[in-house]
Amino acid sequence: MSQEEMTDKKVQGKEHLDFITAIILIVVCIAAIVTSYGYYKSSGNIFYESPGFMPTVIATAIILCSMFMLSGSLKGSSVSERISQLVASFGTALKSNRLWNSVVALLIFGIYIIFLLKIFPFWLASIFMLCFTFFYTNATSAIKILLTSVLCVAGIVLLFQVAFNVPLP
Amino acid sequence: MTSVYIMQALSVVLSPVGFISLVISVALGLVFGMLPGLTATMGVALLTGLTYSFDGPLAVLVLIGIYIGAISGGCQSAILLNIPGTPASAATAVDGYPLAQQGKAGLAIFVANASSFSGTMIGIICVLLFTPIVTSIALKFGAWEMFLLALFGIIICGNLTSGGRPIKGWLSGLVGLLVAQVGLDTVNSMPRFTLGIIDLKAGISLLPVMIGLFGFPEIIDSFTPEVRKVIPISKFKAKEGLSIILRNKLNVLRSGILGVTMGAIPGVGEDTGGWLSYWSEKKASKHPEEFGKGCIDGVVSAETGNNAAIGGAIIPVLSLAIPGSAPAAVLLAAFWMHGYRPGPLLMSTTPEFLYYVVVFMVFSAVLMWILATSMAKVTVKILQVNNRILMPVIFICCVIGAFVVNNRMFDLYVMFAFGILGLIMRHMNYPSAPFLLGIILGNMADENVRRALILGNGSILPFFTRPISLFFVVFILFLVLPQIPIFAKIINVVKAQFKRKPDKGEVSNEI
Repeated sequence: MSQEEMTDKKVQGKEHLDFITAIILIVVCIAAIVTSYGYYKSSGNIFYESPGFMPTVIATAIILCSMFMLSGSLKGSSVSERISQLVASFGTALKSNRLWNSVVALLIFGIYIIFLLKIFPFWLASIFMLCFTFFYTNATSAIKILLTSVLCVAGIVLLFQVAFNVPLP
Repeated sequence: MTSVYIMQALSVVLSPVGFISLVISVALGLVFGMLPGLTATMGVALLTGLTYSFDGPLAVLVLIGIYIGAISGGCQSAILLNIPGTPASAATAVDGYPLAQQGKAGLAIFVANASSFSGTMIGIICVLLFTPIVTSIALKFGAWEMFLLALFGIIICGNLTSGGRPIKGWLSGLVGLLVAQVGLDTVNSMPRFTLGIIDLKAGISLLPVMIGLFGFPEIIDSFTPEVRKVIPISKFKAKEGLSIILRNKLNVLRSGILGVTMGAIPGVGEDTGGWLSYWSEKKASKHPEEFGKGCIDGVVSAETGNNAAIGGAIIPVLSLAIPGSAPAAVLLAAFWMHGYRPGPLLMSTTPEFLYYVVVFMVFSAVLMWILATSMAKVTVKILQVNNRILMPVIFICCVIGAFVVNNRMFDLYVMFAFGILGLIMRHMNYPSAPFLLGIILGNMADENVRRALILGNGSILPFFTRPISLFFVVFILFLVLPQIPIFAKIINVVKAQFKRKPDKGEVSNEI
């Protein structure tokens, strides 16, 4: 199979994602252009000297590229067809194990960064995070999980903070 | 003066601390390269945090050691597992794994390591030869050329990393450019897109973004278990391996030059270097049908190409302060963190730095070859490490790496946010490299385009009348126009018009 055929096969079935990405990017870039116009007005400079110039140029280029992608994603299809494809793919994704694993991983890491590191000292927060992650992924037995977590965090603290004097969060 | 600079560099490498640090960093690099999911970019980013308190030259030595080790280490998992340890070794797996299945894993690994060494050495020679030349040319660049250089970098990176859909690469790069506009603007110091968050006024730090974009998706993927079947390593057959390398002299040279060229193109990097070298060897081979079925020449070309790209990627870092690849981008950020200022003024302000980098690369390459070959049977056990245990631990190291540059929690939130973005981009087949390049070049592009327009009183004419600038404009149009449907049609019509009709003599010859 040639490179081109492989690319085509990869692209097929993802047009609905291109469709939604293009729409999101166009909306975000219109907002960026409006905000940049505000910077231009408040700076009082000529447009090309103002802080709003570059963001406007980039946002316009993104809109142009997004429009090409949008038209490409609608080739041989309609807007309603793409929307129904999007809804269907969302339903399929919800049943995927991979997605749920990713969501749980994001939740664990998010809680670690946003809450645990604020409430507890670095070493304790890290042990909690490791234990929970190992338990979730069924990495090994309970005792080994506890031991591995403590030893790993101790090793990291020793290496970074004690040996190399690196500040920890 | 050159000999003085080389002696200074040697004194760093040959000091007990320097040498031990280099051995450890190269070995660590090999491990990082070997383990699927841990990339060279992650390795260099994590070590940047760890070398925070090191002296500048020692830190640079360690980072170069891990960079070279990681790119070379990827071949072992590519050969034994059919899973490239780093994206750079993807082309190695095509012929390396079939060789391992035929019971020639040891020979394939020996040849891959020797090719990696040859490629790195070709890259080093190019760094030494071309950095002063590119630096002297870059001194002639005005604001017009600097802006177009940034634009050219993003467009060509988008073209080469998007897997056949340049529009996705360009979008990725353009969004990166837009993200780089966050913070105080470089000309008037006016806050842009800061949403009232004070931490955003300083802009978005490079290291947390890189760790998030490149590290996060790999860590998240480890939550979905995978089965690894490692093929046992066989005898090395060093004599046969060396004779294969000697037989492939031309292949090594061609792959080396292609690798350096690919590495020097902003943001493109080692994986493209490996693939292009592999492809060129297959085209040049008398037996192209053997490729993909365990042809050792394919392993030689892929490994030479990806390692030569290291030198190629370092040339624009040193001469233009523009990274040739993602790990080189982290290296550039690390250079900045340690007070070095690569760029057009490098050879006039800190000429010793070039020789430091070259000497460090030579020692790293030699050590890489020795360590990778002598420890292969031991390090191969690392491939059996449980990813579900390793990756969360790596995540903690990522957190430290993102935190250490500015010592603020905000950078951890930035890492997390860009990690999610990296995950979405990967799922939707958007390349991350142009995005990163956009963030790196965003301020340079903004500052220079506005300065160019101010100098020209708002006229864009100098972009077309200055020779170097015109060269970039033509090159950019050459890359962009064929991708736009209307122009693509026009180009096809013109091509058809110019297509010469064969005359009678040629027809009879063909028959």
